[in-house]
Amino acid sequence: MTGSRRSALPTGGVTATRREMLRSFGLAAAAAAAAASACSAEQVADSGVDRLRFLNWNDYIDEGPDGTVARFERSTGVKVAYTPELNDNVEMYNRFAPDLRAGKRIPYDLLCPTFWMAERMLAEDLLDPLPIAELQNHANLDVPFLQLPWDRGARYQMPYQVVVAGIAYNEALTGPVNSMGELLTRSDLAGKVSVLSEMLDTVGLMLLAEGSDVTNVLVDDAQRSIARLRDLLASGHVAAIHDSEDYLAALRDGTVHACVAWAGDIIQMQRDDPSIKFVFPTEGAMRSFDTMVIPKGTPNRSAVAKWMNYLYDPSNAARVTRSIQYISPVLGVQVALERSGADGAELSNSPLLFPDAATRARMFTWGGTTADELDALLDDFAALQEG
Amino acid sequence: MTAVEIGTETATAVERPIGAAAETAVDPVSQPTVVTRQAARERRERKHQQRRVVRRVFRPLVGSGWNTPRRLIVFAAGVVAAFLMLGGAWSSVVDPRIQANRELRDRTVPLVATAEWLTSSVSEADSALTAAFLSGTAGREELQRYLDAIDRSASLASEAARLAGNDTELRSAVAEINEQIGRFSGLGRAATARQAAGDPKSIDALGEASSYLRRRLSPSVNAFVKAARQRLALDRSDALSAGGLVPVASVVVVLILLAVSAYVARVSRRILNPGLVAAGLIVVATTVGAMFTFSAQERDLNRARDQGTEPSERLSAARTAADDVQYARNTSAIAGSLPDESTGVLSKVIDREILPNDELLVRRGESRMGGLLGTALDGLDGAETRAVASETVRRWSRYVVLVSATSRLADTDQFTERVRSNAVQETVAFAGFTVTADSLLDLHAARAQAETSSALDRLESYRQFMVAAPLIAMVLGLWGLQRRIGEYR
Repeated sequence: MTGSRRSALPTGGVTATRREMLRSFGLAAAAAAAAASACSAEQVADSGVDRLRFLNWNDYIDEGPDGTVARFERSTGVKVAYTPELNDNVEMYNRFAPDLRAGKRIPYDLLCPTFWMAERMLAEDLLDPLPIAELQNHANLDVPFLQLPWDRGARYQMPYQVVVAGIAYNEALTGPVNSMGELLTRSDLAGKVSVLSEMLDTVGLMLLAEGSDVTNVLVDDAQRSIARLRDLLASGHVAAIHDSEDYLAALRDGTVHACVAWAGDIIQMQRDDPSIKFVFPTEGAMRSFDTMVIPKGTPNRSAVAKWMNYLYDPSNAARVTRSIQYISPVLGVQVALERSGADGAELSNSPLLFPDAATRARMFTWGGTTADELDALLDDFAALQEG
Repeated sequence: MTAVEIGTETATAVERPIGAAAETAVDPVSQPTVVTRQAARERRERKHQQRRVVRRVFRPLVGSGWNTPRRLIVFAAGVVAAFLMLGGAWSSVVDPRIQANRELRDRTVPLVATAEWLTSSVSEADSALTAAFLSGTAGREELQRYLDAIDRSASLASEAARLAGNDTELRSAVAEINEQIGRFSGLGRAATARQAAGDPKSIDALGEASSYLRRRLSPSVNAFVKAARQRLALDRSDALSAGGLVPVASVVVVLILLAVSAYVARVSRRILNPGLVAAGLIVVATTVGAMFTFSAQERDLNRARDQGTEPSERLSAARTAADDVQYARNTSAIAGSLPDESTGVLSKVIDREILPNDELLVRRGESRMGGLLGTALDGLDGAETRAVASETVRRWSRYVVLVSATSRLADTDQFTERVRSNAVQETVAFAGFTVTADSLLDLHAARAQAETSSALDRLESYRQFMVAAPLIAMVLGLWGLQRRIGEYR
């Protein structure tokens, strides 16, 4: 389960630039579209209001006969076709966007892209609004998600889980690493540092370390950070840009002493290895989130509403949090965990899952770049990985 | 008869002496009788002469006389004039209605919505500024929200200026607001910059910004909202201006058609003239349709008012009360965030003065707010609106719970830190209420816009009938008359 939710955009080993990837995805998408259209025709034909088809990231929910999906099915009578095969935002976009633009239905009622992709899909009018009239638990959405400039009031998306990027270090191998400044300059860490292949998180943390405003990123600043990372890779201080699986393995086997990491992964890792620590860097941490969106033309809106309502019930959300240990966007989860007793009560005190107001004030979400600017930055970052 | 004449002559001869007969025949007594007869004869001849002249003048017009075909031609001309008059009368009612309704849809309804969004945006800027300040230098997201809210306010003010059109009162109000937004923005930036630099007097700068908003900007925005609503009421009244001229003009035309029909029936010995009857029916049907359309338009505009602008107005009143509560909390929080060396003295002032007043204000605000929110959300139409309204109430309740929790903690030793921490949470919760209330405003605005558009669509569609119907009726009427005229040729 650990770490597999995140398959970063241009992963290690990918030798094409992002635009080349987009082109290749385009070709693949054409083939996939043919297959998908046949598939979607079948699936859509037998879809009804009591059926929900949800495409989510891998290992991103509690599974099994007593898992959230099974309990939801028993509770509502809605059959869920849960597909944990969302591996990449761009891949998903290239697969479905052409059909959505052409007004065709896709074989899913609900997708779970990362926020910036949801923003792009909304800008391109590929999403349907939420069935607000049926979403009583929309009121449990945490306030910051209501204030997004691209979807004020959260009328087109319901956040699924919040991912916080900060610093992880192995206490057995090195002393505390409290800031990005330390991570990128301390001589005792030279060659023992890795960063994540998720550009928004790695570059975002570097921007924060340089005192830039990541909520309103200037492309020049971001390119300077990428250039600095290039130098750090060349000098050998940063050993590698790791994807979501590799960085955990490197941290576990001691190849890496400190790295850019996601809080949820580290909380789970700490069960087996308490010497692995996670810190919110003093300069600030990067926050992103995956969010549930309804592709345009989805027929099963009522089932989608039931699912969202179910997930936004604090006790159900707490069950998911206890399983995957990412920050929940649902208000009341902390109290629900506390009431659940045992390890739930312990989790309710976790500063990583429920950071205090001061820490929350130091968590930032990437913003301010246009789709073209973001594409250009992703290209530049992908070039680093090629190198 | 001859005997009478002989006898008369005889009698005259007997009365006059024979010798003096010639002289006495022209005596003064008999002379005036002859003159009077001649004068009468001359007068009669003059009259005959005048009649001959009149006949000579009108002979080319009436030919051999005022006969039936010529009367029918004159009636046809009258029918044409009547229908032209009808078209003009209908147009004078419908066109101004359409124009006013279009003004409502394109300008006034969006103007009121923009004014309300502006109020909300300014309030959010105030709240975000306080949160940014209380969060300290790390509160960049709050600061960004403050800057976003300021940008949004400025952009809304520009939009309001565009929608104000040539209304000088509204334009000058917007210009003033624009200037004040710039000033408020400057004060806010200065406060946060001084805070970031560690200036202990930064609290004064924030107080100045907040005070400026309360004293100047908010009243200006409220006045603008009021002016926009007044204009909405006027435009609405124009859009529903009296339509009584439509049936009156129709009745006149129908009476003319009846009169002509009666004449045609007399001369043709046929009771009904199909053309005239059809023309009359068209006029009646179009008039009835127009009255239904006006009624439907009024219903649409009433719905726009009842489910759009009025709930929006009530919600705005609730929002104002909520802002008062939040302002009281901000005041308390700002006071509590004063530097430590000041709190020794000031905490007593806070305990004795600010807090009791603040709590009183909060309680009053909450009470007023509860009533207003209840009224604002009462009787809303539409599942989505009701759902968002319900969410707004829940978010307000959540905020009130936090306020109560803070109040319970107010007596503890860690007063300043508690106020700071809780105030940040309160501002976040208040922002949640604000955003959902904005969503509700959006729905109200959309509803008002949709209903106003629907009213306009009805009118514009029916206007086609009101243009075509008099023309068609006129043609049918003329056709009916032409058939009668043709029978005489």
